[in-house]
Amino acid sequence: MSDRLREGYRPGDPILRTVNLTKRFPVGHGVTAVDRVSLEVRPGEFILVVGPSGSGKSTLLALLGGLDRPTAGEVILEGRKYSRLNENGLARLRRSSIGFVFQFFNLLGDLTAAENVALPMRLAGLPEDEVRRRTEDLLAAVGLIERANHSPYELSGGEQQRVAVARALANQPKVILADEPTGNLDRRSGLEVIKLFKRFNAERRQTFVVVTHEQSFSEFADRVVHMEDGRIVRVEGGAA
Amino acid sequence: MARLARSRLGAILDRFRVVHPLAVRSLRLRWAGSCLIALTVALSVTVFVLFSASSAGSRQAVAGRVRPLDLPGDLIIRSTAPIDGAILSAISGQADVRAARSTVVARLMTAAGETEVLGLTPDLLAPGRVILSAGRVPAADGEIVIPTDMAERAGLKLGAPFILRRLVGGRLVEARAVIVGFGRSRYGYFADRPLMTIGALKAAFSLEPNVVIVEADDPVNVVRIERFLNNLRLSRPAAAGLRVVTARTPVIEAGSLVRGVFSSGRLAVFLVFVFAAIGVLDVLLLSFLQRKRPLGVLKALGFEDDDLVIYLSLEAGLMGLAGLLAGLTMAGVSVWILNRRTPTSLAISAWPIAGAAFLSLTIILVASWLPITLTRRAPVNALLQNRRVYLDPTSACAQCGRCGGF
Repeated sequence: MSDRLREGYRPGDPILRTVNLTKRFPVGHGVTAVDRVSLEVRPGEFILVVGPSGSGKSTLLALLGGLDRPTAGEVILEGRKYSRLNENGLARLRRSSIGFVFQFFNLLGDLTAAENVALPMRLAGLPEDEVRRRTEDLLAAVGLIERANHSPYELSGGEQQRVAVARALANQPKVILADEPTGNLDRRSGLEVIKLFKRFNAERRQTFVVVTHEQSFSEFADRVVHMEDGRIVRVEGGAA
Repeated sequence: MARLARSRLGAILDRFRVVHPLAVRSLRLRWAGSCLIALTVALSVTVFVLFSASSAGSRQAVAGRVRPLDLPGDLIIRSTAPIDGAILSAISGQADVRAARSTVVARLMTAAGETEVLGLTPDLLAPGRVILSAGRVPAADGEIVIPTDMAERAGLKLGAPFILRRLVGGRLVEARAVIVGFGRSRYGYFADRPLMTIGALKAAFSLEPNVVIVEADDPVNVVRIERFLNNLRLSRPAAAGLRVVTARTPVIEAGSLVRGVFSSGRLAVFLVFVFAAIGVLDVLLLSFLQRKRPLGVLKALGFEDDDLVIYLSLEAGLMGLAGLLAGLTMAGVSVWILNRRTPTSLAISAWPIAGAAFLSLTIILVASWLPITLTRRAPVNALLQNRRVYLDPTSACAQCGRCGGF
C-alpha cells in the first residue's frame, strides 16, 4: 500500500477511525443500519461491539473491513481513507492489514486446514518456505498442528473457528475483525476462541474488534461499545 | 511500454501460480458439474467436426465425379438480353482481363426441333476446336455443323439444307444454311448445339452478342469479375440478366453443389453451439450461485479482479479444453466407424479442428463472462451473506436487493 495515501498518520494515532459512518439500505422506507458512527480504535486495543440483533454491529464491522461501501462518512485505517481506494486497492488493504473471523468460519471447503491458513500468505506473495513455516507456527499456536491436513468438513465447529483465527492472523495484520466468532459455537469453544484472541492481542499487540452478543466476554475487552439502532449508545472502559 | 507489458505479464503469471491449484482443486471436487460442462462442449464439438467431415467428404466425392469443363476462356457470361458495348468494356476493364470476346446464342426453330444455335468466331470454329465425325468445319457464312446425335435423330444428311426460323418483332424470319459437318465443339458449354459463324447468325436475325467469353487468367480475377457482375446487376438495369454460366473449377462446382445440401445442416450446427453455450452458461452460473460465500471469502482475503478472472476463466477453460479433446476424440472415432461400416465418405481436415477449438473457446468465454462479471462487481459482503448480486451493484435494484439480480 502506497504511503502517499497515509495522510498525516503518526504512530500512536488511532489505527482505525470512522467519521460519521452511515449505511442506509433503501428497503421499504429505507433502513439505516449504521447511523453517523464515529469511533477511534487505538493500536493494540481489544474492543467488543455488543448490542441486540439488528443494531448494526455486523454492518459496522463490514464497513470497517472494507467489505461494503458506506452511504456516507469515512473509514480510515492507518491514515488511508477507504473512499479513495478502488476495489483492488481495498482488496490489497484487506490482504495486508486486516484479518477476518466470521460467525460461520467461512473456511474454503476445497482446501485443507493448512492450505486455508497458507492462502492469504500465498496471495501476498510470501516465499513458499516462509509460508510453510508460518502455517505450522499458527496451527501450533491454535493447537491444531495434528489436524493440518484435514478438510474443514472433518473438523468440529470449534476447530474450524480456530483454523479461521489462524488464517486471519496469517499475514500478521494490524487489525483483526471478528463478526460473532462465537455465535456458532458452544460456550466452552466460544470461550476458547475469545481467549485465543486475547492471547494474540497480548502477545503480538494486534488490534481486535469483536462483534458479539455475549456481554460476558466484556472482561477480556479494553473497551465495550454498545450499539442500538445503528448508533453507539454507550462505551465502557474508555472514550469513543 | 514493453517493460510495462512484461511486468504486467509477470504479475499475472505470479497470480496464476497462486490461483491455479485452487481452480484445479475446485474442478476435481465439483466433478459432476465439470463433467457436464465438458460433455456439453464435447457433444457440440463432435457435431461440428462430424458435419464438417461429412461436408468435406461429400465435396471430395462430388469433385471426384465432376469432369473439368473445357472452356475457351476462364468464365462464360450470358445475358437474357443483348450485351451492349459499354457493359462489355466495363467487364474488360475489370481485374486484368486478358481478353473478352462476345458470341451469340439464339434459340431457333430448326429442322431438328427447337434448339439453341451458337454463332462463334472463326477461331472457335477452327479444326481441332470442333470435333467432327463427318464433313468439315464451317468456312463461310451459311454453313453449319450439326451435333451427330441430333442429325441422326432428325435424319439429316451432309450437304442438306438446314432451315432456321425465329420470331423477330412478331414476324417469322427464316434463314437457310447448309450442313457441312457433323460434330460438336470440344468446349463443354458449347457442345450439343449447332454451330455456325457469328457473322451469319447476327446478320440473319439482327442479333447482338449475348455471351461473353472472358480470359481472366487468375482465380482472383475470376472472383473479382463475379463480384463486379453482382454490383453491375444492381446498378444497371441493362445488366439485370447477366449471369456466369460456367463453374471455375470442379472442386468449386462440387462445393456449391454440396453447399446447397448443407446450408440447413450449418444452421443446425450453429444452433447446437448456441444451445451448448446456453447449457454451459447455466452450469457455470449455477456453480457461481452455489459458491457465492467461498468467492466472497476469497475477495475478503484479498483476491483482486485479476485473481478472480484468472481463477474462474481457468476453471471454465480447463473444462472447455477437456470437452474439446473429448469431442475431437469422439468425432475421430465416429468418422472412423462410419467410414468403415457405411458407404459414407467422411474426411477430417485441420480446419474443422481449428474451428472446433475456436468455437469451444468462444462458448467458454461467452458462458463464463456473466459469472466472472457478477463475481468481480459484487460487494464482498453481498457474496459473504449469500445475498442477490447484480450486474450493476450501484443500481436502485441492487441497493434494495429484494428482487432481480442473481
